[in-house]
Amino acid sequence: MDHALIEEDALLELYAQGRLDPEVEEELEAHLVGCATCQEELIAVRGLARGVRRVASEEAARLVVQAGIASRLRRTFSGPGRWGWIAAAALVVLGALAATYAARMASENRELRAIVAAQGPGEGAGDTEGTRTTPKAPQDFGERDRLAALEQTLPAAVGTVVLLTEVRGADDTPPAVDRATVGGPFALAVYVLDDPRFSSYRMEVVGEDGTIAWQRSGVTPNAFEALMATFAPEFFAAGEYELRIFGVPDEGGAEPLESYRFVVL
Amino acid sequence: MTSSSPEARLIERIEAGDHQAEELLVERFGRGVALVLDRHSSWRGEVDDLFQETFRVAIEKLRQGELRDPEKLGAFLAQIARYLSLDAARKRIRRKTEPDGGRVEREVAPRGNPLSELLERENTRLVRRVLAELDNDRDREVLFRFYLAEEDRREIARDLGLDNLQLNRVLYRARKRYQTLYQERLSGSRPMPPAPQERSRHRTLLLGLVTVLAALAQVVQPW
Repeated sequence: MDHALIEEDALLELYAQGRLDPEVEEELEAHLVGCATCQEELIAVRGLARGVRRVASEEAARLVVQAGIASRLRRTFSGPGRWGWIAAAALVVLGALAATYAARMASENRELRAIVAAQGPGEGAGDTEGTRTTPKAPQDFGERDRLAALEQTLPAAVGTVVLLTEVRGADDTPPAVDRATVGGPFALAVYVLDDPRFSSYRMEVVGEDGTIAWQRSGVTPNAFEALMATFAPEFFAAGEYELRIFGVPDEGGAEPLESYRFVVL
Repeated sequence: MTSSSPEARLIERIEAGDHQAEELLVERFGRGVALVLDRHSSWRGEVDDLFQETFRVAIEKLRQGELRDPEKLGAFLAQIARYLSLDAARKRIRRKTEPDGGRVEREVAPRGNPLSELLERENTRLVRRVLAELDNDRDREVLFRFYLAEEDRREIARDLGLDNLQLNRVLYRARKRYQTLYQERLSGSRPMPPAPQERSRHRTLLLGLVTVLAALAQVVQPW
């Protein structure tokens, strides 16, 4: 198999995604095993693919966090007292500064916004049967209206999105969900790197005493590679909890992956 | 390839029981075999075992003179790797039917490896550079649709009015640029300019500040 054919037909890209015909795949592998150049190329293909997915995931996370902030601001502005109005005025000023700054950055982040626009609104895994969303890219990446619509949709669907991250040390404080302030359903979200070993994931919320407060199998990452579950605020009693993620391969069983602590107030 | 080709000489030495030649075989073909195993095995912990097993089987067969055409050494190793991967997958499926096949491990997962996380972040920065340097939105769209949505190439090409060759060139250019940046990072020949991700940290900081103030506003509202 010669390099011109491999390049022209993007065989390494297709091989990395498992999309080659078996005969071609066999032929390519016979060549790949002894070809240092193609090995380097394949490693690059895999790194690039992983990076594109992670960029999309990070930008999606940023959008979700911004959506949560927008939701919080709306609640802050509803019925404030005297000091509330002062704080609100300060927020307006700061918000304007942030918006100006964000607008300047927007031109530099066009490609990143395009990813988000290409995905459309993400589906919370807790609200679906867990089928993977197949995102369709818009024909026009300048579709600002579509992006604006997306930004409007997320906070409306869920009051607050709590993005859970690992708590690495005893001094780290786990994120808190204040039931008095979430003002409606809230979502727990974690990000998972696309792992070909697993066809789905299992989510479990475990209480302080080790009992399982909630669990769901067959969860798949949404278009932003996030696992999300939505809860009514009264679902949890006050206390500390742990969200555990397991990878579930086709063959069955489950491999524990990550665990995330959070506190419900 | 003649009988005096490097592969032929290597095989002759292995047939003669030369252990250094066996080590050379692993050194020469190890990375390629690992890539093939990684592609076929869905269980990462298994790849190391399969790697050892592939070379054990290969050396055994080579000693017995089972490979007659030295030109086929790569194909021979790839075939063994693929066969062992499939065999391991079949065994896993059989284990699934055993009574404890669906048992869920309940131990808390070990913490993520900080080094691999660091490498992933670095990789992400490289890809952000590649995306930022692409000529136009169409090329970015090709990358997103191919790598993220994993859409069919023909569909992408049709939508964007490209032929297959043009689309493959976009993929090729992106990969080459990524490789160049990767090599530059390894050699430290050029400092990495701040990627959009880095710049947007300032924006995130501002948004964080707004969040804190919003929380403060909640606190002071009763007064």
